[in-house]
Amino acid sequence: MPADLNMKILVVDDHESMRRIEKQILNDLGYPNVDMADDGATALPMLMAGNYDFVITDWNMPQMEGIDLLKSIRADERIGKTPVLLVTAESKKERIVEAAQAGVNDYVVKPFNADILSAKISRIFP
Amino acid sequence: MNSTHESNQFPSLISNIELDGFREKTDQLMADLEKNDIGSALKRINEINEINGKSFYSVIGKLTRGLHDAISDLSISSVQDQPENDMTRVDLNYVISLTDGAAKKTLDMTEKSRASLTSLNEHYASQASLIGNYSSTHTLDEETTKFLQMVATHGQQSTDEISQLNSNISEIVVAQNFQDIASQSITKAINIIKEVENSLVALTQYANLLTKLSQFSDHSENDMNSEDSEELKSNIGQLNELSGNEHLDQNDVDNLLSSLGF
Repeated sequence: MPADLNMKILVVDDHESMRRIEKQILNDLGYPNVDMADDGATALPMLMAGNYDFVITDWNMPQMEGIDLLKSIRADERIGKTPVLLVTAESKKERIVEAAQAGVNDYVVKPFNADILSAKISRIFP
Repeated sequence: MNSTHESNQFPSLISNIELDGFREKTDQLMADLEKNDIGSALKRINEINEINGKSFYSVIGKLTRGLHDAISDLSISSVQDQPENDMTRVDLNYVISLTDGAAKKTLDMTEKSRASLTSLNEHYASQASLIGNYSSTHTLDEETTKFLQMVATHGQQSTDEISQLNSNISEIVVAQNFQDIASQSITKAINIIKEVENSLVALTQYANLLTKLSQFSDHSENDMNSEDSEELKSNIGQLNELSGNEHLDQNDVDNLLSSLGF
């Protein structure tokens, strides 16, 4: 199903600048409903309560890493099918394999631009 | 770089290795062997080994001191004490906080600019709508019609330029991506440098204790006085407690290196 421009998106990143950059890029792409969380541990209760359609999360975060957030999402019946895009500065093969095994929908390496993010969203919501 | 920085460069290890007595001992060893005095030759070999151990300890200590001073120059452990205008020191944490602050300020400005551009766009759209409505509901003379067309054309040009400005702002936002990556890379480098320093400090402590213990190796416990015996026990205890994972802050490291003579 093609991406609904009104879908509710949660951006998770411990760096404020990065959260805001991602939010602005998403707004540019026409997605106005973007919320932000500063860590996996903060994001999880928001996801449980918030009826989100899509999660974009950083990997390296202090309390709960992106990979653990992904595993927690997949382990929960209510939010288990939420599409997740992992964002990371590292493109190590082991990480990509680990993310794939944990059920990630796609993986994007920083730095990225609007075109790259748009292409990833199109692949997740074909 | 100023002279303080230059004085903190890594020492030239090879030229600073202290091999006091090494040549003398080897000459004596050769003489003992020629005389077939095996007992004396074995003693010389032990003495040469001891010099080697001390040299190793000296090299490790100097290397650790050099690294520690270089780290102190980078001020990677204390951001708060750094005066804002003191640019004679390269403070990596300070660099991170500056670039992070600059990125946030840039994002503040881009968000405000976008809001202004959105508002301007709405004004021009409203203006175009008003002109359209007015033209369709009024009978206009040629001059007024031309004037309204000119205003509409200017409005469209402004809308196009707003679109270009929005595109430029998007590029500015995306460019901030690199700040995040740069600060993560610098943080990683800081952690690696600290780990190397901690390992070298542990190695220096280890080498120092081994050197001390070797001084007791030629004596039986009966030969030692009570002070020697206590020191030996203390050294063995410290050796057992040494751990490469022990984390010392910069002052601890400085004090420890000074106490070891580096």
